[in-house]
Amino acid sequence: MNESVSRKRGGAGGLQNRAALALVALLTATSSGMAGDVYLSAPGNDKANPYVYHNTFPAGVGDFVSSAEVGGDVFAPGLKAGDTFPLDIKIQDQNDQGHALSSFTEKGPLVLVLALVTAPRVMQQVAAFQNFIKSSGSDAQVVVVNVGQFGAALQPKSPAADSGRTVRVAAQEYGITLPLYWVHNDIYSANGFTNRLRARDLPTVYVIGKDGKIQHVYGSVHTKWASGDLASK
Amino acid sequence: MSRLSLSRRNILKAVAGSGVSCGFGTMVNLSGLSPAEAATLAVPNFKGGEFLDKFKGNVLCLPGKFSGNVNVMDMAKCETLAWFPFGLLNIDMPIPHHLASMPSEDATKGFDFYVTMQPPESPYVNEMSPEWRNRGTFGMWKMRFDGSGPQNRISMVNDIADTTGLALGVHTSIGVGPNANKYVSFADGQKDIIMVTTVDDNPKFVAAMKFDYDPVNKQLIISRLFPGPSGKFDLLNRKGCKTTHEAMLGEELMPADPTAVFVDAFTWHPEMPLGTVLLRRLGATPVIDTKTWTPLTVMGMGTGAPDHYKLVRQQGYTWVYSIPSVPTPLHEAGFVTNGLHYVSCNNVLENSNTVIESGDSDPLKWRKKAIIQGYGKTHLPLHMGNLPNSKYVYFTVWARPPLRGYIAKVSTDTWQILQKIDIGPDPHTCEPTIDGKYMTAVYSGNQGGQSGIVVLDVESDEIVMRYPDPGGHHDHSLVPKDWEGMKASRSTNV
Repeated sequence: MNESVSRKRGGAGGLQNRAALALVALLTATSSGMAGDVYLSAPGNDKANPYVYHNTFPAGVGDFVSSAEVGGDVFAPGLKAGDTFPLDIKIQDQNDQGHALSSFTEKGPLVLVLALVTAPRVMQQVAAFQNFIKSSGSDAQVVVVNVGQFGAALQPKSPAADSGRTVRVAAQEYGITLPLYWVHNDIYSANGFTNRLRARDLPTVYVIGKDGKIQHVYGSVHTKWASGDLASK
Repeated sequence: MSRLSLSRRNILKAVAGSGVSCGFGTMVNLSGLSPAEAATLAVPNFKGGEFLDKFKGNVLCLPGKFSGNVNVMDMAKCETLAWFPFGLLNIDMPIPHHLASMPSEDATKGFDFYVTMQPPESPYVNEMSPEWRNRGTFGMWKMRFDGSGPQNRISMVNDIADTTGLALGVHTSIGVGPNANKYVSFADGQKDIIMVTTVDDNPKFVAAMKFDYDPVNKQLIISRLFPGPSGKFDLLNRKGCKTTHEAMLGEELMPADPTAVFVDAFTWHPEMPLGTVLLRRLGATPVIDTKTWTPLTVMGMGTGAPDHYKLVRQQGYTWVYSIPSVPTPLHEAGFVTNGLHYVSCNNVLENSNTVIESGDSDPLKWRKKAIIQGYGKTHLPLHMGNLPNSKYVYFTVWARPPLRGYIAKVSTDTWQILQKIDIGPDPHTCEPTIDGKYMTAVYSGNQGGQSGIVVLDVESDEIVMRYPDPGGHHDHSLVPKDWEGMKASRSTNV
């Protein structure tokens, strides 16, 4: 049974399936809902037919990340000091303009704060961190990134138009004046931002050197900041 | 060649058949008939309405989610018996989320049900406008459908959040077996709290528990909660939220408040005074003694997770369990009708079901028995549905658009998937008819597309009926006839 309904992508089978899909689409377009039922369930017929629809998509569409791709554990250890931070990732400003993380480290060490505008306690902790930055007179280059998964209609590859505005409203609500960006974080994918970092805890603060190496990582339990915490080596 | 020809023949046959019967439906003059006869004959496609007679006595209760109402539908009449817009309760942007129905000898005449609600930010976080952040509310209500008089009505019996001071917005589940006609549970994954009250019209608080994760020590902390001196909690609306939107389907990997575990539901054992709490983010299930309201164990569901996590310490009303690793999150879970097995829906990382033997009165003796595989990388088991005879269990199986989900029919003998039935995009819950011959399921078109209710023949696997419905339902219940029938309903599983 499982073999008969597995997804067949491409090849002669794919052509046959596409032809069948076209036929079904033609018939259902001019008929009542009953024909749709036959297409959907194919009762008593070829058990592969209900999957004609699925088989028209190329491999990879709709995949979820696997356990092995995130270290076999929802809470697997994340990137640590000494690891290279993935600077190829692009973050978006509140006008939805993209900026590669490397464009920040090119200017000098970067303090990157992962936040979530829909988690009140996380944002309160970010606000407390902001107070520390201001009161300590730190001249560190600090960027806060909202890692919520924005996407239109549950399709992570289609960011919603309101993401920049949502982050701007949240910044005002929580009094965040540090630069607050957002990232298109596809948590369904192994290549999603926080899956690459294996970050589940918020806020998490990374101090990243100009060479892209992580110098310090601080999780949510780090609430008492000292001036040396953000020092770059 | 033969595959295509056979399908084509059936398609042409169905097109022809439906065309004829549609024509019949439009030709009937209803003006001279009594209201009852008109209600039967006005059903298109099925001559004389006879086809629907098999569903007599089956009534669906449907939360409208974004449409802001709840409605009651008679499957035999193909008619909405009553509907209730929650705007009547002065809620701005109401989102009726989940529900559960009490049994009724004749549901067309009346029955009680429970509804929960979330703010719009929760189910629509992806599309929400930031200006909606303060609209809507959390809440739970006891509702009553009355179809006994000349004008059907749904009315609100009790605002349970207002009564208790605690507002929760996800699954509600009614006690069965030794807990029948006593208790109803409510759960919420943004506050990570469950609460149990009595089922009378003026519900009394029974118990509440909070669940927190300690990411440093990798421990689960379970705490009993008690009302304040006023006799009420101070946790209405958004107060107490760790995260202001519920993790969406498959979103258990979302970084969040570090203590978040994403509580989903409290479900009831059909034969013993036990209940289970579903912790999505931890892929774990505490088992609760419903006589003392204390946790007896916490079970791990993923591959390689221990059957029982270790209790580290207990002090007063706080229990701490070690959760050293989480192989996979889960979403829904529940008991099979006969109570002999408990099945979890393991999400995202494993896309499987874990089957646990749950017939022993000591939950510490419960053990993993089987893993149901076969959903692949693109589909995850979501909601569970039971049959009165426990012969099969059903799972709606969800996929991200543009892929569609389907329903999986699973043998409780071999624990193999016997059939996959594509019912439409974005399938959610499944509930059996009273006689157990059919399985109903809702699909919601990814919050805006095709939506409806399908009815499957349990033995032939055919879709025998499709009710159009614009609600985009996230949940539904089929009103059981009695407390025994409740065991196959959303009391034992979600």
